[in-house]
Amino acid sequence: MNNLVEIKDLAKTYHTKKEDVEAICNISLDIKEGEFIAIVGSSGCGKSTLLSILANLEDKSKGEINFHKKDFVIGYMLQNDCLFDWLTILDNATLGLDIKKKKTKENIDYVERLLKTYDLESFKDKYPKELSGGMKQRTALIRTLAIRPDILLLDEPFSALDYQTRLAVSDDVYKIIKKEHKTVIMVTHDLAEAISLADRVVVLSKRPCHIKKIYEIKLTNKSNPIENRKAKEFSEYYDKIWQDLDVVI
Amino acid sequence: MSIMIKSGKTSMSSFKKEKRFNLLVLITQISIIVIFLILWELLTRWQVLNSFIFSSPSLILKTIKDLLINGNLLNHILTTFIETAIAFILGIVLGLIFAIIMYSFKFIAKVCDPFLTLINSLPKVALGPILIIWIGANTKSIIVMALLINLIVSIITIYNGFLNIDNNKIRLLKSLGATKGQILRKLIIPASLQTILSSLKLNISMSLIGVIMGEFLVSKEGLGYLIMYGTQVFNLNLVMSGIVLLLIFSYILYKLISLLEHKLLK
Repeated sequence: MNNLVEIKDLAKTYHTKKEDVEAICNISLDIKEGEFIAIVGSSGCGKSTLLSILANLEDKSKGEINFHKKDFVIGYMLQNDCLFDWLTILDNATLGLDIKKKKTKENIDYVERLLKTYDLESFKDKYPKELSGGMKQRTALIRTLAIRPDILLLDEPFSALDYQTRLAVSDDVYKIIKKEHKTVIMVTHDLAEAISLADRVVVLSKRPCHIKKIYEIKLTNKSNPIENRKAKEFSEYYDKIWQDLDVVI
Repeated sequence: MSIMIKSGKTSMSSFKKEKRFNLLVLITQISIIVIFLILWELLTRWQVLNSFIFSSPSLILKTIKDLLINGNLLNHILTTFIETAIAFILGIVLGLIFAIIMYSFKFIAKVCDPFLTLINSLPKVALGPILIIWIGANTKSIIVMALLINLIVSIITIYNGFLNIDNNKIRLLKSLGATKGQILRKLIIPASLQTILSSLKLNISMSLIGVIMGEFLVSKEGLGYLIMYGTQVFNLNLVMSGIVLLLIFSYILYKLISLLEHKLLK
């Protein structure tokens, strides 16, 4: 498959009054079309910074990011759903279109279809406070999908949910992403989540972070994330990655 | 088994208990007012309190009735109302505009910060005499007086409300490529509705303070004028009536704002 995004020697240094803090040093990574990549690393290692740079929210200090497509659209999903309390679910889902001034009939129809497919149609005139945590997260995903992104950047997308909901929602989100054939980069600190969802897991070192290892996740009978956790290779990957992270308590 | 029945009973009556508790609070509140009024009336009738200095409920009622029939009480109330309304609306509009400017331009916010604190800590009443000289002994200085008192507080409250908005939501809009104007329109202002509304409540009381203060200093009409005039001619019935009317007046204004808040936040 073709490379969709190529990251070359990316580096990021923060300049504070006292000193220069190196957050990311020389990261190179190719992302193929349709691939699901999970990035793991200890907290504060700069993995979220990496996503922020990709999402154009922060400037890089060095290196190159090449998008192999014209008018590349990025969908960025944050830790909490960030739904606006004063907008209905439909208005929340079309927020991105509204901002980009692409609220055409065709695009709204697309969002309505997404809401219908993912069981939110009857809630489209309701407000976020009337929805469960999982439904809110699904709305947030549809808001991200509405702008038809070429790549989805997920920054710990499930960390605000409790454990059970988290499993169910990650399963849900995975199915939606696969069905819509999206390329994904997900940052997480949950190893099990990374292994069960991703095609490749990128392990980052401690700050300043560079790529320590990349695992191709090959599970027997790979299906949905919850089933994947039962695969016999699962725990092997888990142990290896855990050791790579080199956690000091 | 018996324990279960018992616990069921308690949870049933806890709702009733709360209702009774609230009723008790209300009855006590009303009793306090009634007892206070009766005591006041009786003490002045028995001449324990001098009614010339302390007035009395019946004298106040009579004064208000006389004012309604002979004096132009409605005119006084209307004057105070119009002055308060103008100061209030100006305060909230200018406050919102200043807050938006400060939020949009970090430089201006930084520059203004110490001045705002400085002006905020100054008792604005002290500027009254200067205002009269600069603007004149007219309605304009009353409104400027009220504006001085309510504007700074409005700016600070609304601006702080803007600053407290969830940074993640701003990031979300930025990742969608939103402009500064879009962030302001789509997020900052709707998300601050609660803060803006509570600043309205603060603003209305501040406006009223300013207007009464201004009327004390310059006016020929209004509730503040009634109180001031009453003091000057030593008619304490008039002073007390003015205060009672002001109490009712400000309570109604406050309730109107609360009603608006309730409607908008629904």
